[in-house]
Amino acid sequence: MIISYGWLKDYVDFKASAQEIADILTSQLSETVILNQSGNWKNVITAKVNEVKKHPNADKLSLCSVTDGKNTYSVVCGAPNVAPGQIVPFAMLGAELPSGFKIEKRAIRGIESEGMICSERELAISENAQGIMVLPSSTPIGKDLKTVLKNLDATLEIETTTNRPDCINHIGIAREIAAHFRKPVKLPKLKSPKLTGDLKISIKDNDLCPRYIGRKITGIKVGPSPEWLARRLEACGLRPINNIVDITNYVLLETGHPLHAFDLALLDGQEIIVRRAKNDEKITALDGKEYKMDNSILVIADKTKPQAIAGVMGGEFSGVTEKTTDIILESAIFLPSNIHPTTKKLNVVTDSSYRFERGTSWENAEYSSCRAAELIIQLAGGKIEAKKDVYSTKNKPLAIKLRPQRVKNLLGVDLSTNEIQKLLDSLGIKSKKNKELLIAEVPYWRLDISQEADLIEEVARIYGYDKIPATVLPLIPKINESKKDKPIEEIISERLVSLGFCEAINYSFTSEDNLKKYDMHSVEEVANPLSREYESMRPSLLPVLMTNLNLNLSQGYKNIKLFEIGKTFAEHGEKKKLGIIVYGNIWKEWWKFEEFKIKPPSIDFHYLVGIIQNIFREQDISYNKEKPLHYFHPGKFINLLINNKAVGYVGIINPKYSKDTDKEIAYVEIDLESIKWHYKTQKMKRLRRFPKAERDLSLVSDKSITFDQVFDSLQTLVSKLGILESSEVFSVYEGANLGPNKISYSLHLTFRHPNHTLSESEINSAINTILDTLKKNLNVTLRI
Amino acid sequence: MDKTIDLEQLKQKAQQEISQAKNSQDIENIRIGLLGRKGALTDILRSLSQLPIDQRKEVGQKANTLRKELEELFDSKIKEIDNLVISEKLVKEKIDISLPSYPFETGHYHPLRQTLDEIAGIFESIGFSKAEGPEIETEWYNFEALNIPKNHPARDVQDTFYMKKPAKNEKRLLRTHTSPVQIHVMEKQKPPLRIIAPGRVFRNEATDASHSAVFYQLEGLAVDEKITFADLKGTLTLFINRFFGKNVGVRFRPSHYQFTEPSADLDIQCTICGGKGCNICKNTGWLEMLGCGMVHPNVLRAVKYDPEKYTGYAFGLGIDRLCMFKYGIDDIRLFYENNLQFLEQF
Repeated sequence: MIISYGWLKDYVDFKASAQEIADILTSQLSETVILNQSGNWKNVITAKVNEVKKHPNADKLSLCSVTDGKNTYSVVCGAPNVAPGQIVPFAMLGAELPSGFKIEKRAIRGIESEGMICSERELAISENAQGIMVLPSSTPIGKDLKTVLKNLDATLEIETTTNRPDCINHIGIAREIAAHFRKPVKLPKLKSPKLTGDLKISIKDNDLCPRYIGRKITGIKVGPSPEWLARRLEACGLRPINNIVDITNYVLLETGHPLHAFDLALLDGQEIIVRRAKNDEKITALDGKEYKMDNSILVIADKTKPQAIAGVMGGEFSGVTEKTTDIILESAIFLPSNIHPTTKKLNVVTDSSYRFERGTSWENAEYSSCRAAELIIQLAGGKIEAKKDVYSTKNKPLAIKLRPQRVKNLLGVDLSTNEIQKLLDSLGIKSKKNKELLIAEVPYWRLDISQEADLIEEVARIYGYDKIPATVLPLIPKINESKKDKPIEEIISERLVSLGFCEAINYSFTSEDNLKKYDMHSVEEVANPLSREYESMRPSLLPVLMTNLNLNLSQGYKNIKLFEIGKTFAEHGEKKKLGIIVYGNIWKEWWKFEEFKIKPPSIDFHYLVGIIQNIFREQDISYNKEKPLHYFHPGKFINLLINNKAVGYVGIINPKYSKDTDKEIAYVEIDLESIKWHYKTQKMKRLRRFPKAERDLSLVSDKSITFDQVFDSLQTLVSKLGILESSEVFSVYEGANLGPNKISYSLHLTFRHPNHTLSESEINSAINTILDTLKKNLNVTLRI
Repeated sequence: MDKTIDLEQLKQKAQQEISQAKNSQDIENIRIGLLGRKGALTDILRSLSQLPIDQRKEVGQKANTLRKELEELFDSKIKEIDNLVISEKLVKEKIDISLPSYPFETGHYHPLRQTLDEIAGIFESIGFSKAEGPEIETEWYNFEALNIPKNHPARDVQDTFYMKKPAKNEKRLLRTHTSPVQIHVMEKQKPPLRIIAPGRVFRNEATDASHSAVFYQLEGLAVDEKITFADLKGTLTLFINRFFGKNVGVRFRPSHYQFTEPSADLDIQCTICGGKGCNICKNTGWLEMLGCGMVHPNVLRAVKYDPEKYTGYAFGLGIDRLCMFKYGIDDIRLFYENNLQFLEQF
């Protein structure tokens, strides 16, 4: 809302500057900034033009002699309207204009100018840049311009909140300023003449229109508005149209109540009917557009057709024009909760609908109608012939109980009952003491106050938020608090980051096209997406992480390790998932690898499982190969089980979804919510301090037997042998010399006894047991 | 024969030989020549018994002293030779230390996560614990329970994404703020409670350098007996001081949220210009940081808390903007692009 600083002075006496008013409103109401301020110049005085001569070197410039009564100055002026005898605003040497421009002695086309004659725009008084500003001939010269110009103004922009429709106008803001200075508000006094004429107004749908006031004014003369009124409208960003329309807008800005004037002659039957629109009924509104309505929308109609969309916009047909002589002035109350959907349906928001959907006051409807009617008579002539006020129920003022103790409990400030009363009173909220209570009467303009907490907010605002102390409650822990386990997503991301992964954060939605690339489809879709790019809630993290991967590949990155922890939206609802995508080499390139003839290996399935082993290091990890998901390589895929519970998938992306990349893309998706994390504390194992013995074994197995069968078989012997400390594979080999369908695993075995140094025979006996068992269980033999 | 003269000669000879030794093998040879089983000094020591008693003691003492002297000489020469060998080796082994070191990979948390964690850490240290809620909400949780009735213009302020599939009797939507988590928590727990709820929220507004349809918020809620607006001011001032350092000015000014009464906005002095006014703070000298207020009695009623017994405060903090100020990020879209050039910086 744009407010004129000067206009506010009509309603409350104050001396504070525009900046001070902006600061007061910011700390008491809502953030307020100065939009535009005139009068913030330095060293601009009134002066008289004595003489105007042509500039010898420039056709469009003139050479003026200007006097302030004491001295004369020689000034170069470019304005066509400068003439001898004019009283003008004169910026002397050293002056500073609102734009920050400083006046210095300078030569203009070879002739020195000792100052500058200013236009209204240069002084930020108006937008008028058509020549210099000419002051009335009675203006004394040699005076500070600020003392001569009475109507210097500033405009303030106030961020109005939805709860304060009473502050979307000048009187409302004046009330706030009056409250701050504890001063009264002066409202324009209105007469209420007796009227005899009649007016046909009926409300068919009073659920949407509780009150409709019409005033019939006849014999008016439509023309331009007087200067002062047009200026005020312009200051607040409205364009003057004609005196009648301008007055309705002026009163809107003054009191906040939207008004509308119909040309009576153009209303069929000279009648107003407030009714729901018929389905598909049309109206061409004042903006020249045609709107198609339905029966949820309220219209103001005459006998035959809608003449206005109630509370939103008047119709073009019955609008006030130069030819209008008789009008009906509408001041009504429309149901806020109906105006809001109407504006949504018609996709139009007006100054009027903005206020109606926030709420308008019963009493203000009549006050504003009366105020506008008087201004019309004053500025456009004519007379008020009739008034009709149609309503279904009367509005009752609201009284609310306020406990002073509650003010203390909620704000943390101890205010006496008297202090509270004074604070409320400054806002026009009258209250009476009733034992321990205050009974506060809500003034008619305050639609937002409906309970005790609302009154306490008023007390806090006027008392000053900055005066309320700042305290910190001491933390009292509960004695029976349990230990707090670290959330698993924190543990997992910590480990991934330490392994060189970067965390990605993607939007929760993506395009259906992106999903299609991976033969996925969304289960949840946004009904009103920003664009088709963002219509589908991601059912998996894969599509968005693939987008990230491709972006980084296009940026020239060769090794990419990303993870995201975020929500997915699939058949089973919203789930928090971990997605890991890896591409490229296990290590970065390094100059020394060349020296040792090492090439960094490509990321593959076994690397990926290594990541899983690392991040779930203390958990029980197992897997199965059942039903590979379609986007995985069927031979390079596992279902991951953590602590015997299936939690997600680990594998290489099916090459048909990674055609554009030359290496394998490794991907993991885990449902974090289904992990039952074991927060176990590892108990110490006794150290073995006797020397260890190491032996290498090369075994030959049938290829149908998987490595983990061999390894598991070996593991079963650990407790039986008691001395097998570890076993690692150091080579896997397939070759013709082994025979068909054979594979060889070379194992590095470590033996150690807890209590003595192992003898050769103990080691040999253990190896024999191992070989016998492997032979018996799996037909695995020693490679010879 | 005078054994003491022999000893003197032996000493001179040994000293000369040792000083000329080139390597540890030379030393060893000299040592064997003198102190070995058939060494010259060993011989003398062995023949002591053949000397007359009066000479025996004198020669014996001198011979033993010489042996000690010689051993010390050997040791220091060996050290000298070793040092020489090592320094030669060191000179030979010199490398160009300026060649690139091993490129360990460093992972990075997303800057938004880092900011969220930092803020959460501050609140956790003063007794708040984390809570979570779903991203797809119902109108009840996102609006009604928070005292935002149907057709209220406050719903417009937060342009909402609706889901195609409705719930039983109401629309489903992408939460426009983290405030619905307040309702979820209060439905499940009884006061006293102090929670923070970090999470992503959605607004149907066109994306540009300072607007994103998805962004992060951190919600705070404290409900107990006797919680006041003064506690809200204190807690948030403490937070701002811990996050920005204690010299940043803070102001609370009235605002409006349907789910708090009284409501306030917290501004901090512009961190860019220090409060003098710049284009980041639109020349006001202040940056809007968060919205807050005392929990509206209607909200407490909606979760069946007794508003007579309990009061509370709530606040909501935009993480993206805060993170942008902190790291000097000038385009909010960078957060969601996941370009490694960006992620690797933080």
